[in-house]
Amino acid sequence: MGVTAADGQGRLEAFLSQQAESPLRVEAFSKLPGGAIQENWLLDIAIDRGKWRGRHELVLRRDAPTSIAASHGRVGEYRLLQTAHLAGVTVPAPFLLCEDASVLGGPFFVMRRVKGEAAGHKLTKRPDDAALVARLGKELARIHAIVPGAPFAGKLDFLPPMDGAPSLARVALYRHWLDGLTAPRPALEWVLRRLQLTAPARSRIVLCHRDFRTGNYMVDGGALTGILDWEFAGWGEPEEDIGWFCARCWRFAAPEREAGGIADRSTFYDSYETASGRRIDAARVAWWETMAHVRWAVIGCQQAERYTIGGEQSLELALTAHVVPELELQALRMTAEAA
Amino acid sequence: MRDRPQGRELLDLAGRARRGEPTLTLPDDDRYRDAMIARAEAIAARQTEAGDGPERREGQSLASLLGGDGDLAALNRALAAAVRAGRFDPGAPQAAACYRHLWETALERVRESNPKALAALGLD
Repeated sequence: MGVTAADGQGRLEAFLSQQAESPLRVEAFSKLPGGAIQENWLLDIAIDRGKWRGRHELVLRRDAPTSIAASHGRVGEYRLLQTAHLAGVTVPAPFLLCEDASVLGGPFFVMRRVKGEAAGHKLTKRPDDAALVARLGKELARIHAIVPGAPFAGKLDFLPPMDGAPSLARVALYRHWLDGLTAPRPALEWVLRRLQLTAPARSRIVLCHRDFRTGNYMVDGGALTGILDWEFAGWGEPEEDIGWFCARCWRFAAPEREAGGIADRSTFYDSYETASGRRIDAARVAWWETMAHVRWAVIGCQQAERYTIGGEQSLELALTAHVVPELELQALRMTAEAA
Repeated sequence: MRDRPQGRELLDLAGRARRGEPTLTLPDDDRYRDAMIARAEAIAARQTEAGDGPERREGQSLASLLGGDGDLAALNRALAAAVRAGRFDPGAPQAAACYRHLWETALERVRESNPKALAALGLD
């Protein structure tokens, strides 16, 4: 996979030209910051004629050298992006997919570039923004309108079905992930056991984004410009996404603002309920909010082991290990009554 | 049980980052990178200051809870398995003691990894 901008650009240009059925120029191609799981590359192209004639400001997304277990490949993520776009969710418009590994060493896709800021620590330092949170509630309702068998969900046949209760499926999954770690995590086992004993029964099954949180959407001038990072999406229940969005660990600089560190929870709930026509089950959200801390903690352990075991030389990955204790503490606190 | 990387390993990482070693991937944002380096050094300093006290107390607490001896990793593995198997479920005689142990251990870790988080959680 070791493609560089220099050696990949020629093959990419040839591929894009073939797709566009026109000569084209790659005006810019450079790796964007971040991306522990996948890489994002800025891509500007100018096409001389044909169906895509004009200048296009794009982002190319491809797998990082290593990625964590739960992440869909780029092909799956592209199909999710296409489906969300069709369903009216505000996402960067999908542009094209390349499954031919000979171009850049693995599948990649290209989407329109959206403007704005995504960084959680910056967005949560802005003043309280009820309008943004209301918009996010509406967007999440649109995502959850995508259900198995819906006409525009046909591209999602690669997603595994959700046969039992999503709650118990996640307990089993995170235990499986814990079993793959080198070091035991008794605190996370404690929380998972409490969650297992109080797991909500199966309810409505919808498309869950599974990483719908501050940090994964773009805001430009106070307005939402795109919901990003669809690689973890799958069938589940609505409250999983709501709990993840509201979880304390994703409020960054504004823990007192329960809706993603942006505004109050009731604004988010009201907007979601109006748009979806469904009541949010607060008890279910509380269960998933505790699970959010477990999930982030286990992912943090996995990322740290990419450094300690996998040998991936990254300061950021190495330090993720030291985020885990406070997640464990918070999760333990949330299960204190069940002690 | 302290998480890796710890102590000397953290200081080595911070040193490599400060030297800008090309084999180490660093955050692109300079301020964020500097904050991470400072964080690695601060965690190592707090671990040095705390010495082996936290892990010794953890071992004693685990031995008392599980009624056996062993190294920290083995005891923690045994506790994790016992919790999963339901030995400390609500109503079990040692459920509260198990919770206290886990809470105190997590608290000790956060004192080293990010003591500011304790203030945010109202636990300082």
